[in-house]
Formats: sequence, structure tokens, C-alpha cells
Amino acid sequence: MTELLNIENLHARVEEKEILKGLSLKVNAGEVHAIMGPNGSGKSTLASVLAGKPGYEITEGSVNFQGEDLLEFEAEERAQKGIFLGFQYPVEIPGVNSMYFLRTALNAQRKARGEEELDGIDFMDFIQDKLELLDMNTEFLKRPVNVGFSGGEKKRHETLQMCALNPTLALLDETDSGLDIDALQIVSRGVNAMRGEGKAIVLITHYQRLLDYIEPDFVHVLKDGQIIKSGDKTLATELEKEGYSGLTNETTAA
Amino acid sequence: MAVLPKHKAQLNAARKMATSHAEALASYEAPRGLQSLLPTADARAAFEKAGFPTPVNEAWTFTNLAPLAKTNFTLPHKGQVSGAVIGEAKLVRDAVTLVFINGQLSYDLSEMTSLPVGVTIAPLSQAASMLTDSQVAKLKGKTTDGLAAANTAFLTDGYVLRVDEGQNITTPVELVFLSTGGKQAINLKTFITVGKGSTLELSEVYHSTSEEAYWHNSVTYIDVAQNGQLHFTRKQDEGTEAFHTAEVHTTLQRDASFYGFVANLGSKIARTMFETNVAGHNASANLAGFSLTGKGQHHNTSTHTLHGVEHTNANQIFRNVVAEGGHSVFMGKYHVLAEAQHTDAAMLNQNLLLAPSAKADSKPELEIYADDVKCSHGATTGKLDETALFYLQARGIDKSTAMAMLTEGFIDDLLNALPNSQARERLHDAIHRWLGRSMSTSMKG
Ligand SMILES: Nc1ncnc2c1ncn2[C@@H]1O[C@H](COP(=O)(O)OP(=O)(O)OP(=O)(O)O)[C@@H](O)[C@H]1O
Ligand SMILES: [Mg+2]
Repeated sequence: MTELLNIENLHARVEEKEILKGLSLKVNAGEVHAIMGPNGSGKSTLASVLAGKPGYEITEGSVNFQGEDLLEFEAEERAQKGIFLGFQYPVEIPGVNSMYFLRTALNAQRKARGEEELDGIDFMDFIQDKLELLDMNTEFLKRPVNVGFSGGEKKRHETLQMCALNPTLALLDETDSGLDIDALQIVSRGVNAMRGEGKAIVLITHYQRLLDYIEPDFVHVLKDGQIIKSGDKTLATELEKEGYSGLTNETTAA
Repeated sequence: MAVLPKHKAQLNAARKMATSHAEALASYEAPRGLQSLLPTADARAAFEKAGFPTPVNEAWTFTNLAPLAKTNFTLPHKGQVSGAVIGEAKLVRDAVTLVFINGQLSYDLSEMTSLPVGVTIAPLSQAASMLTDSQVAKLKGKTTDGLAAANTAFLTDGYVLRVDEGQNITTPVELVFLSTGGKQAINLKTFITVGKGSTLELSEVYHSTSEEAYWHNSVTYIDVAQNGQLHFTRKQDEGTEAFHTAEVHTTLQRDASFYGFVANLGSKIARTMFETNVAGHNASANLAGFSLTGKGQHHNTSTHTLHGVEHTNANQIFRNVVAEGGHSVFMGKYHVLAEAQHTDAAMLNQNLLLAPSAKADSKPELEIYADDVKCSHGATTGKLDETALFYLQARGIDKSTAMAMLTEGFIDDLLNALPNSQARERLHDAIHRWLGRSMSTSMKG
């Protein structure tokens, strides 16, 4: 199996506060991992650190992505290398048209890979079936990025961006939260469509029900800045029943 | 106000500079067609008495004209410009176009064949007979304002535009003022009349082929008669060493509407003052605009709007973007007299600072004597939203492009106020180019 991502003993702090406290995780190509854990345990922090959000200080540990030291790169370079972060809270950007945004992003990535950029017409062709897959229409793309979108629309928009950018590693931070069953199915459809050889998905979620639609190969529990337990998908069912409180750190003991 | 010794010294210096400015232009002669009307000598005396405005004057608190006052200017000369340059400068491709090079009308470069019936336009120097009595009075009038006095004392030319009554003019009219640099002081005076029930889209473009210092000093008088409507768009994209000072005095009669728009991109120092008299019931004065202010530049947009009768409206929105080492200023005032009940007036100034050394001053004011009005003002100054920036970068967009996109998003919807799609596109492109330039330098710096 090809290793895509290897996080070893990662320590990260924000504003003098240590949040990730020796986190390790390996993700191979073709795998789907789910990360669950209580509020405030550091799940979004992990996703942000991997995506290159400024403001975090890495004090220890390493992150290797496809043989390169990921932490060396700017956020845009990481995206160009195939990392996608689906935001827990997608950002509203007044004045920036969604279509223009997505085309600029796609072309930036294509350019970085030495591919031809798409003009407006080619882009419309390109995006059409992705919109259909997610039950969205082009009206969406005429609006400013996320402005006035409902919670579910924002998450669908994240999924659309993922489908368009076709990343190697997708980190989806609670893309399922706040979705009704229909929307959940639609978003899952998008995620399953990009599942494939050579690619991997890390789902951050609070809810086992997502995993009914997107079946994970591994489930991890992140608590207090560390992965304290890993298992297969049955772990998710257990967690939903029993909660996190009984869990103690097994991995560091091992 | 007590005159402090420090102020007195400033005023004396400003007068001295006015005198030396006047001496350098001593060989000035008024355009032949205006010699009997222009009070050249009186105006020169008034200019020397007032001097260049100094920060002692409240309206100039944030704007120091010393670099302008210290420059040794010459009288305008003839210049050569290619048609391609005009094409680049223009906002509205298929407008009736008058081109002024160094303040003088160039018939060769102008395009007046499609001038619609009902519109008359001519250079001021040849159109004294077109002026109304009140316009003649303005031309002859005394002023205590230094810049206005200099404008009269050393007037180069300008234009007179009249739209007859009841004319819905669908062909836009555009004036292009181009300077070829060379330390020229170019003084322009303009009279615009929109007749009863008529409409017009008018734009003015100020450009240069030179990076040398020069000065465009313009005074414009606009009258919009009952139920008339004027869109007046000004694009100031002068050379980087240029000085640009402009006053636009507008009077609105009953049911008249005025839509002023200003885009400030060029010049070392540029100030645009919109002085509007909302003089008729149900008249509305709408002003909007933006400035893009880069290193070593200073842009000042000022407004003074007088509401003198019941039931008038005004709306203002100005967005200013300031890059490293730039300084922008907005000063706006609604002056609502006691009899102007039911005035509905809103004013908003939003500033975006792209670097720690960028500076924006904002002074929106209300002076209200009526008790039943709806007036508001607001101002905000901020930086680009870091989370939005990261969101774009996380999609693979490099930082400077992301900054440019967010900045463009900050001003772009203002362009919707423009009636002409060509003008919108042109300004959009100009914004885009400016951002491309200033982002790449700010990233290097
Ligand atoms: N900029 C910041 N400054 C200070 N503390 C922060 C900052 N960002 C995150 N934290 C703290 O770090 C901890 C982890 O936050 P994080 O968002 O990673 O949690 P999470 O596991 O994603 O939680 P949730 O399930 O609620 O989304 C929290 O205690 C949070 O308050
Ligand atoms: Mg979170």
C-alpha cells in the first residue's frame, strides 16, 4: 500500500496553548478514515494545521505527505499538491462571485500542475455534471461565495469544490453536521464519487450516521490532542452508544 | 478662530507660493473669446491673497498641498497624442467624445459626428454666447478660495454642454482630458445644463502620457433642471507625479436626480470636491466612488450637500483601498436647513487598508437644523479578512491573487451604480490591473 500521509508525534499550539499533544496518524492511498472525538479535542486544529492555516506553532513532530515535508509549504501549495480541506465553518466572502472563485481555484491548481487553464465556457462544461451529482443548479455559482447560503448549501458548496478540485487527500471537517437526511445523502454521493485508488479521505464527524453512507476503513478517537483509540467502523457505533468519557489513552501506553 | 503664529506663518508661506506661481505664469493671456468676461486680474489678486489652501483650513486638514504649491509650473503648451492613447483612456467606447490635450480641444482626436439632436457642446473659449446669465455671473464672480481664484486667473479652457428640454439622450457623452506632462498648470472650467425632463450620461476621464509633474485644476458647474437626470462619472487616472484638484458644484431643481461617480486611481495628490445644492422638492443627489491609493499617493474625496427644501434625498457610498505608503481621505457633510423637513440622506465610507503603513482618514458629518429627518452616516476602516484569505489559499489560490480577489470584491459592486456597461468593464479592468501591480509590489516588499 502506498502511504499518503504520515503524521508523527505532532505537537501544535495556538496563542501559547498546546492543542495537539503528540498526535500520530497514518493514511494510505485508497483508505477512508473517520476521526471522532469530543468538542474541543483538537479535530479542527489538526485539519487546519494540515491545510496550512497561519497562526499555529508546530513545536514537535512531523507531517509527511507523499514523501515531502508538508509543513514546509504555504496553504496554496498544499492545495496544489492535492490536499483539500472541507471547512467546518465555510467562510462568507461578499463581493466574490462563486463561479469566478471556483474557476480561479481550479485554474491555479491546473497551472501548478502544468495543465491548460479553462476559460469560462470550458469551465461551465466541466462543472455541469458535478452540479448535477450534488443536485445544485448554476444559480448557486452566480452568488457571492457562501453569502446567504443555508448551512446545508454551504456544505454542499464545499463538496462541489472538492469534486471540482479532485484532491488526493480530502479532509472533511464535519461536512455532515447540520444536514438533513437528503442533504447528507447528496453530500455522501459527492464524497463516494471521489473515493478511489490513489486517493484518501479523512472524515471528521460527530455522527455515526454519516458512516452509514460513507463506509470508513478506520475510525479514530481524538481526545485532548491525541489519537487515543483506533478501530474499524464498529468503533463508531460503540462510541455513539457509550460516549467518550470511558476512554483513556491506549496508544501512548502501547 | 484665533490665528496662531504657526498658522500665520503657514498662511504667509502659502501666499508667497501663490505669488511665485502667478509670477511664473505672468505671460498668461485669457482665451480670446473670454477676455471680456474673465476677471483675470482680480482673480490673480484673490489667488495671491488667499494663497494655496493649507491644513489650517478645516477642509484641508488631512491634505497637504505643499508639494503642489512648491512646484514651478508653466503655461500649457501644444501636445501630440495618438488615437490609441485616447482609446486606452476612454471609459465609454462609443460615446460622443471631446478630447482636450493639455487643456485645448483637439478636433482631430474628437468624435462628434454622432452628437444627438438636443445636445450642444463646445469648448468654453468659443461658447461664451451659450452661457446663461447665472453662468456668466459664476464666470465673473469673485472668490476667496485660492484654487478657484487660480482657476479663473489662469484659465486654459473647458467646455459648455447643454441638453435642451425634454430630451432623453441615449448616446453617452465623454470628455477626455489628457496631459503630456512638462510641469504644465492646466485650468479647466465647465458649465453643464440638463434641461427640464432631460436625461444624459456624461463621463470625464483624466489621463496622462507622462510621469512628469503637471496640474489639472478644474471647476465644474452643473445645473439639472426640473425632473432632469444626469449621470456624471469621473475617472481620474493621471500620471503618478500629477496633481489633480477638482470642484464639482451641482444644483438640483425639483424632481431632478444626480448620480455622481468618482474613480480615483492616479496622481500624486488628487482631491475631488462635490458641492451639491439639493434645491428642489423630491430632488436626489447620489454620489458613489472608490479610490485606489498606492505608495506616495494621496486621494481626497470630499462632499458637501446642502438640503434647503422639504422632501429631498441623498445617498453616498465611497470605498477606498489603500496600499502600502498610501493615504486616502473622505470628508462628507450633509447640511440640512431648518425648512428641509423629511430629508432622507445616508452616507457611508468604508476603507480597506492593505498594509500597516496604509492610512485612511474619514470624517463624515451631519449638520442638521430640521427636526423631522432621516439622516445617517457611517465609516469603517479595516484590513482584509484573514479567514477569507485562508479560505481562498486553501483552494490553491496564491496569496497575492487572493488579496486582489478580496479587494476587488470590496469595491466591485459599487460599479453597479454605473449606467454604462462599457464603463463598468473598463473600471473593473482598471481595478484589476491596479491590484495586480500593487499586490505584486506589496508581496515583494
Ligand atoms: N485561535 C485560538 N486561540 C485559542 N484557542 C483556540 C484557538 N483555536 C482553537 N482553540 C482551542 O483549541 C481547542 C481545540 O479546538 P478545535 O476547534 O480543534 O476543536 P474540535 O475538536 O474541532 O471541536 P468541535 O468538535 O467543537 O469542532 C479548543 O479548546 C479551542 O477553544
Ligand atoms: Mg471542529
